[in-house]
Amino acid sequence: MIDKQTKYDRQLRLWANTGQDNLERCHLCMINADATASETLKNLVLPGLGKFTIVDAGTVCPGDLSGNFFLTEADLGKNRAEALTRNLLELNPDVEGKWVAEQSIDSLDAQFWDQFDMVIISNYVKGYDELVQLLWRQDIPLLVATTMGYYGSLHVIRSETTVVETHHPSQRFQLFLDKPWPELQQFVDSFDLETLDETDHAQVPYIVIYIKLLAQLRASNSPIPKTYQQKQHFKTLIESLSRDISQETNFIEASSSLFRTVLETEIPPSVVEIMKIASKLDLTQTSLFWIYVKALENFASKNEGLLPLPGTLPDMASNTANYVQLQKIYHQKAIKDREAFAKEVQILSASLGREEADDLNLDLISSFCKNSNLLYVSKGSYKQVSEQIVKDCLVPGKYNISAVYLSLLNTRYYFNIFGSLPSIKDLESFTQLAFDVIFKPYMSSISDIPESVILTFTDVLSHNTNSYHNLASFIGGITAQEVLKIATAQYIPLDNVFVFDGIVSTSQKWKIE
Amino acid sequence: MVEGTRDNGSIAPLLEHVGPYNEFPEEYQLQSAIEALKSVKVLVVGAGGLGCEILKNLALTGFKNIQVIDMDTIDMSNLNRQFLFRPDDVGKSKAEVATRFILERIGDPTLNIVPYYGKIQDKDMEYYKQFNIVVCGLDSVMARRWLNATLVAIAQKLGQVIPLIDGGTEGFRGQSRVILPGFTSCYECTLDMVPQKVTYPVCTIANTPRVPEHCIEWASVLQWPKHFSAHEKFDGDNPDHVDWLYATALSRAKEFGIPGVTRSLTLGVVKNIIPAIASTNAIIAASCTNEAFKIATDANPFLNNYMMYSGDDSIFTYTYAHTKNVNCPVCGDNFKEVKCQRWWTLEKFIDVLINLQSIQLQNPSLSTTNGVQLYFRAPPELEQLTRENLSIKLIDQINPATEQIIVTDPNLPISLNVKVVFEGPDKEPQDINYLLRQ
Ligand SMILES: [Zn+2]
Repeated sequence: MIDKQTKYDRQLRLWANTGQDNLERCHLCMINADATASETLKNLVLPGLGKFTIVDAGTVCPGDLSGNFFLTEADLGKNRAEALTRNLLELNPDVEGKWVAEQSIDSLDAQFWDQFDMVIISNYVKGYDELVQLLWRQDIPLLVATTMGYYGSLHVIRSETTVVETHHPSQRFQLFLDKPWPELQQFVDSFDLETLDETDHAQVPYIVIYIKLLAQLRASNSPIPKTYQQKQHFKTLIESLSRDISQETNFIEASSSLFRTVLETEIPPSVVEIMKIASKLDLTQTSLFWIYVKALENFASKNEGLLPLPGTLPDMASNTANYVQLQKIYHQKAIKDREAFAKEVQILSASLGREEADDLNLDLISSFCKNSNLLYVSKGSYKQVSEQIVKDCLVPGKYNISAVYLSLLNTRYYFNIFGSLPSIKDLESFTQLAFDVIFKPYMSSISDIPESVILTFTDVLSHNTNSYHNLASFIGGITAQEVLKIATAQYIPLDNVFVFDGIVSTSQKWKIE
Repeated sequence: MVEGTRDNGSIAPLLEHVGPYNEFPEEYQLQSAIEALKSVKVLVVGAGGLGCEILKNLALTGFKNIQVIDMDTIDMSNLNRQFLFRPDDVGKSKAEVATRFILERIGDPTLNIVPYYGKIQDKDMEYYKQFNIVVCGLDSVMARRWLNATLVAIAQKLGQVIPLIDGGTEGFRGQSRVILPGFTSCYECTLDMVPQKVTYPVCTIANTPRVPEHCIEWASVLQWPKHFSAHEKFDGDNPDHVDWLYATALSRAKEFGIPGVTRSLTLGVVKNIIPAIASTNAIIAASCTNEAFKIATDANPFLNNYMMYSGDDSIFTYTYAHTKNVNCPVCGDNFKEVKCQRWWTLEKFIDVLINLQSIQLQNPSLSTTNGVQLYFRAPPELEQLTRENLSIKLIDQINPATEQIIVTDPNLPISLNVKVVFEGPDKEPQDINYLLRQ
């Protein structure tokens, strides 16, 4: 028996046991067993995805081996999904894998899809449009990964994305410096900067220095420093309190950290927006996230418009006693806020007649309170193209990466109609199709399609392999990262289309509304 | 084009048709592209997270002559991403197990992979000059600097330009780059972009611990040498050692009322563990080998010269041509200016050099451009002879107007010229706060 903490150590440092538990509960469906699918699944089986099901009716033929590391000579003649499932399961005994050899996804009934938390389509499949609609209606996230020659794309189709643990790289700390609560104020007042001896003066945590200075500003009706000028002025105030600003570490830190610590405590505009969305929802029909958002709004309205205190402190120059005492004061206030927030959840939950055991789960509540100023919400779309992408494509120039996306999209349209991949011989019909289904509203004749777009079409059709391993592996890596973010419910997922050009090694993304 | 069981079907369209973005379409020839893949010799440095991916990618895109170097053996914590290894392989050579697995899986008699279980420093210029492309997937900054300097030296001395394709990852982020020794910026040029290990002032660790990391550093830096003899070095892979350290850190934390010391955090701090997942390695390795494929076949232009990738907040890439650093000690005019307080001893100065972001040395030896030996780590006789200089102020040992300091390090095949700029007071300030800040 291998210890999971040891085996998964390097990833648990990214998403902790809560993320790992979520990942291990996830059941994923992969449509097609090609190179991109293999690479995606490899990256998910290794970190311990719960379960996967591969749907592919094809038989392993010599051509399949060329760019696919997880199909072998011994698999020739067997079902492709079966062979891939077996070879992937060898990577990690913790993972469960199944395969379905269905000729066409149309013949799978709607209930079949219910068992999945996520579906991935690797490259092209018959019945694509119908499946997109079906999964959209059933609210199952769909990821569409495409590789063609040196190009690849990923499209995430999901009605709504909500994230609590965003791991937002913001370096700002929520310290409530302008809104000290009684215990914190009492601690601050216990320092008399005038009378402290040399050593103690240089050990006063900068939080105390800030709060004293902010109180001075308030007394003279000056605002909390916001502009660059005000902050520079605040800096001089800090330095004037120091007995020797070239020597006292705590004052030096106070002066250098003020830009990311001295902030007006308010609800960030992004969270205000999220609260507005929540107020329009019928909460009897929503996920727990929205119940929490509504409870958060109720909490704020009873707490001077403040969100719960996260309670984490940055390290700062101080002796141990002062720092530990300060940490306790922040921690206790965070617990108090969390309890008050839980109370709001309880009241709301009861008023809605919800009887969900998870509503008052301490871990969920704690995590929500810690991250309430960094919440993320996005509304998705099942559309495949936006006006913006087409317009980007029509900008004159030698090359345009949006043409790469439209080439890959048009390849899908082509496949849906003709049932096979286009080659360079098909450039004319391919261009005609692009005009008919993509460009027509934007131009009067097919000859208006810019030369740069035709060049990209030419490249895609010349290099019409979707198993060039480097691209399959690149897109497989990207797709797996997105699955990990969605499955662990941590970090911010792609919203919602990404394209990679392996010729110049650049990428672009768009949001299709 | 069929050869072995795996045919070239997956790459054939890329080679058969010259694309519109090929910069020299009239010079491109299908036959020479196919020949190139067969004859090009590729060195893969590192058979870990990136290395496993790189080997797989090269083998599946037509490369036939590959060598792989890695000094490491397989550890249990590798299995969440290094897909060529199984629990039974723990303790065996990464290079050897990876090679065996790839050869078996690909089943192509014309594919030739030679593993070397050892250090890159074991090999000399003679060895490295046989390669046409080097793909590097290492996590060690020192090893990459050594390799980079060796390939730049081959370009300078032998006029042979061997492209170095370098990849690195951390969590959901990574970067890939193509270094053409002598032409583009080199690894050393970008040394100041390498994130540094967080260090804590000894004074804080000893007297005013506040966060769990301070307690862990106290246990490892101050307590371990006290409780164990000099030859019993701390080994992060020895569970008994880790347990001792964890218990020691925990009791320190309890004494001061500091929450948050865990075994996992202890390991992370003492081993400087960087989070790693298979998917990020796959992305960066694929980007590296895609560049190798384009360089070998001339089928398309290659990356100029740096791509940053980040996947933790949506997906973001940034591709740009990093410019050469004119003062680069490897590919530039080899010159650095370092500020020195007038009261610093040679020992203090060396300590500062070691920790300087743009220099980062481990065991530097110093002499002046006038041939005076300031301090040498080896041989022992020379060390003994120069040791007394350590306690003498640097300003009393060199003339900054006429002399520079030449710094060498056994880990790097280069020397570095340092111009010292003296400043500050002659005497060490006696103020307690000043010391606290140091
Ligand atoms: Zn350089």
